Amino acid sequence: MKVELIGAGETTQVYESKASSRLLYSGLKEGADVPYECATGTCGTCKVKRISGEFSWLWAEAPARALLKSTDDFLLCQCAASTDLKIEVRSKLKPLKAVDQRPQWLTGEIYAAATVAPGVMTFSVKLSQPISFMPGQFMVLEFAGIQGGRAWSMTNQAKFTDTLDFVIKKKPQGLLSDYLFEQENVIGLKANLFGPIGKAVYEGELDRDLVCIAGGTGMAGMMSILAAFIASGAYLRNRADVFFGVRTPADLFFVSELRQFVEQSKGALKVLVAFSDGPASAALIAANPLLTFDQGFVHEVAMRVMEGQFTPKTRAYLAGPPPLVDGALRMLLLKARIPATEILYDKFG
Amino acid sequence: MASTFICKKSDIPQDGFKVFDVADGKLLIANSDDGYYGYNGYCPHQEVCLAEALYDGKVLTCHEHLWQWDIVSGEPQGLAEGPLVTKPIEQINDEIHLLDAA
Repeated sequence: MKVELIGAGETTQVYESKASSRLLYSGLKEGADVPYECATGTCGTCKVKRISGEFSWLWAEAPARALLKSTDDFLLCQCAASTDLKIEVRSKLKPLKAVDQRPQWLTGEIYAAATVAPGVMTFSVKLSQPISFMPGQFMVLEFAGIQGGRAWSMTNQAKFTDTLDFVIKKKPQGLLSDYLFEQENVIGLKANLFGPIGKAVYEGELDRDLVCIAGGTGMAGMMSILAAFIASGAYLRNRADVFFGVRTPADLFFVSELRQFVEQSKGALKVLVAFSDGPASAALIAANPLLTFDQGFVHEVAMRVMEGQFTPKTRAYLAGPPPLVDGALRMLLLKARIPATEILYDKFG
Repeated sequence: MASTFICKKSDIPQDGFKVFDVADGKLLIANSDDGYYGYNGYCPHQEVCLAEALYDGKVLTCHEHLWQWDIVSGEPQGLAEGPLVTKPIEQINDEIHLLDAA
């Protein structure tokens, strides 16, 4: 099926999509500038309008469908073409940037897993073929028998690799996370993966001072970004201030990995852990002299600690629950006066 | 020209804004210094209601994808690719009215 995108400013792009394929994924595979953020039916960023042709819903109950105002509006990530389609996109269509690799469908198998905090699991997937991805990008994972996919950011970073590491949280009514947490053993589970995708990425070569504010498993993509900050040598010229929010000390994970980043950075990378529901124990503080602990909502703690510390080269990365991202955004734009072009995040809520 | 009462000037905070329900959708009214400015209350990008937008008295930022506009001219800044849609308002004493479409 031929899909013709009509963007703002008389820009157009054309790509092919099969009748069973998600229009978003076909477009991304072919390098079209299709709008998206979560890629899994919750954020509504891939909303477009039909000019002509027919489409069908693959997941009619997608939460973001509630945002649509007309039957001509639909979500590229949850619909497939039934005939040739002409679609209106509300932004200008830009030519594809020279990225390392276009997203594609891959297969993989979980080969390692661990519970790292209550309701938080890390797992690693061995892919059938190596890929490259940018720090901060994510994959959509599907498992047999579970409807729909879930977007999870990679925690590792490598220029070219056949292993991807993830950290996931057990979500109330999260079909896929429930499924994985209910397995006695996830090792050997096979997955279909689409990616890499996501625009909140970090290029180590870029001369930027990083401010990373993350809550819970929103830390996933930050781990990849921080690994690249170290591996690229960016720490020799830039600083990174990392703010990691969890509820209580029992919910904390990635402590040894974060400690290692601090050590490797020779002081350029600082990590503060903020507990929203109580103070750090004396034992935790004593065992982690390289980390700082504080109490409160992580974006509020971050703004308090960073007052007067932002630089003209600051770039902020945000990830976590929507109230954290919205709160941090508000403070970074209005109080810290960070340009909107230097605040990066992917909304999943 | 006929017009519809929207609010009192004092309903709009200094260097703040509010979004009102009007007959054909949403109307955003912002204050900047001594001026009042009226725009369509939906973002021209993805039609998100701008009631949750961020505003510093000069620049309005949509909270979804950070499109920004100069509040006096409605012209795009930063990531934005298009202007806000102007709505004709007038000040009558201490009130703000929306001019009815001709």
